[in-house]
Amino acid sequence: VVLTVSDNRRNSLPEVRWIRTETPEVEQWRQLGQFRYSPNVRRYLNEHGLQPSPSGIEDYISGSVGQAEEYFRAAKIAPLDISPLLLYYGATSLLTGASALIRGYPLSINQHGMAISVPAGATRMSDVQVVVRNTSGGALREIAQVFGDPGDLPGQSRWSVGELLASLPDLKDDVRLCIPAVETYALRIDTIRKDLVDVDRIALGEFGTANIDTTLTRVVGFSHAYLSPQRVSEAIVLHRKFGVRPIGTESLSGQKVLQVAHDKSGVLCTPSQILAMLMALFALGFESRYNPTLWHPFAQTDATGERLLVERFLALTIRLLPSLVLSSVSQTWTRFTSEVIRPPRGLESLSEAELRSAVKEMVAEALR
Amino acid sequence: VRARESSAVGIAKAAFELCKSVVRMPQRQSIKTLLPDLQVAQHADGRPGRGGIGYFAPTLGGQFAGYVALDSRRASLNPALGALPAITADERALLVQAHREIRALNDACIGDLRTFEPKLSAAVDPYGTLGGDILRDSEVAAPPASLLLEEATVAAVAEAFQRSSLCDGIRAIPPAVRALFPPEKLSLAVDQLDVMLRRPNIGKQSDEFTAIAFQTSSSFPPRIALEYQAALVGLRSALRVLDQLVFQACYIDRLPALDSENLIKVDGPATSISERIVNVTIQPSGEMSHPKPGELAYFVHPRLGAPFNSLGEIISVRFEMSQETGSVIYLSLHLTDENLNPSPLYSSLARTKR
Repeated sequence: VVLTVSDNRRNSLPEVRWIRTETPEVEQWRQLGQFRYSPNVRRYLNEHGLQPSPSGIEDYISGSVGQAEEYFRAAKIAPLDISPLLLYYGATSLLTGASALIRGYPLSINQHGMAISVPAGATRMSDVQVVVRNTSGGALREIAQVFGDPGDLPGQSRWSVGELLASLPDLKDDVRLCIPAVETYALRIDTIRKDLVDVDRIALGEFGTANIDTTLTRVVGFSHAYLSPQRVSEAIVLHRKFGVRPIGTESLSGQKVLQVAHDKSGVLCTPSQILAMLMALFALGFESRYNPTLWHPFAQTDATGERLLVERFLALTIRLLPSLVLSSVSQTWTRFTSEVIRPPRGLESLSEAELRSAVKEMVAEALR
Repeated sequence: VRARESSAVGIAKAAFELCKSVVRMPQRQSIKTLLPDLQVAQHADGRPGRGGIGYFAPTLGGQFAGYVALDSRRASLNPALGALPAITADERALLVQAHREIRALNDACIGDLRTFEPKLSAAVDPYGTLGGDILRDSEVAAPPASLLLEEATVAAVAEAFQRSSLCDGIRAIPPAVRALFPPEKLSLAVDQLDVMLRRPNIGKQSDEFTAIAFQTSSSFPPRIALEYQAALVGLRSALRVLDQLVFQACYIDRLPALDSENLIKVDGPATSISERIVNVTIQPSGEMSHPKPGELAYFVHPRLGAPFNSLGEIISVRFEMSQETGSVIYLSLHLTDENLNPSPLYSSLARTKR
């Protein structure tokens, strides 16, 4: 079973692995880059009980990872006209290579597994739709086997670029500014530690104009993980059920996030951040390549006002996608920090409130 | 729990059967209507309720006794309590009847211990500290009616008590030790130990008990005296829990549960020589919206499961409301054994005999 680091349903926020670096973007590729070499691939497959593996798999993985890094490198300095396409190719290469590494055999892919549909009269990039094709050999479905859940991508379901970008917690504020009508698909959470218990809070503003109860019922796994929500003056307080693994995903900054499902003809779907990024990249790459009528005014004159949002999405993908893949490969949340990492040392790991409470308890006990 | 399930005549098992029969009794409906009504401070249509009665009654005595005592002593209560709304004559008759039935149940459970040692009756009476003036003469004289309790199930509970290790232990105490306690001293000693054992986290302070259990021989007279007191307190506590079980069965169909649907944090269960305690933090909801000390709840450990699940007596309650972390309730419970005894002191002493 592969832990996917961005899926509510799998309740799979694994341990955090901190890596100290001044340049996370370089470091994450340094970490992934080890799989450009056969001995490291062999070692990983051995350590994870995936040997014997099909012949040629080492080259498949090494080649995919190496090619992905070059695509990402090129996309970073490329103009907006071609960077989405480069990133889509890079993402596909990285995800197929990493899938093979995690599963121990290469993917059998002969098509994208998705198509593009532009609704009549659509003028905005966010209106462009990705149509999921559930045919065998489709890259999206194969990648979803490892980095999400294919059940979250029903065949013929349609996903607008706007809702895909809204699924990414790091873009939530940008999407809300640019596409006010889009629904809420990510709820950012502040976690307060009290009496050694984590209490989650969602600011009321996170729900926008959406109905709070309805929105929370669309968080897959919510009632399994949380007791009934409590409303206080500025937030919704969520107490975690005792003994249940926490659900949710993380933003790039490490903030906990609950993903709100998309309703696709009555099916609640929560694609992982990786799948949302891949689908959005496909749409933007396709439009830039094959639909200059729509792309040119958007890219050259920012006619729809979405250019900043798309640029931020591409920058986020460059930074976040390799990091999420690295987390899946290592089965731990991988976070980068430029601060000195110190292991927790007794009292230093306690907050002031916890220290005060502990001292009070000791004094009370001594006085009994 | 395993012990309770495997013991066909265990007190807890018989008590649960008794509660099921209470729930089936048609006469229960009038009490089921009355008790919640006495908890309502204000009705939905704005009419003032009688929540004050429900609030103060438990402070005067457990179960139905508190309501009867409140009504009987209305004239002598302080002005604030005296101003509480009245209970009608019919309602009082209902409460008195139920109280008398519970007392009769207790008498049946004590059984031949009353003749074995007459002074025991008062010492193990859960209502012993209440005073004898709460019933009017006419109520005492009236023949008891069967409102809630079926004869056969009462007999089964009584038999379970008679065959329990608690009653066996009391019978086994040498006469010379029993003679050390004249009636008034016996009740006082049982009262004091009962109060001590009902404090939360008493386990941390029971070094003396531990020393007696592990460092003295079973023939050491002070140890036997402690065993005697512990067995009597155990019997009284088991009766108290039984009475509360019947009381709660009168107005709710299922015991409230502390489980994955309300638990936020669980510390324990922790066991010492005199205490099996679990401290929990819950989110108030449903039947556990306003728990009170003395009430019973079924503790279901979400992580450790069946071996740690147990009926618990709530011994402390603290509500907390905050804009930062919402509403929570901190509870401490003493978990009961197969005899409904919420303190393991007697069984600890019996187990460490040498």
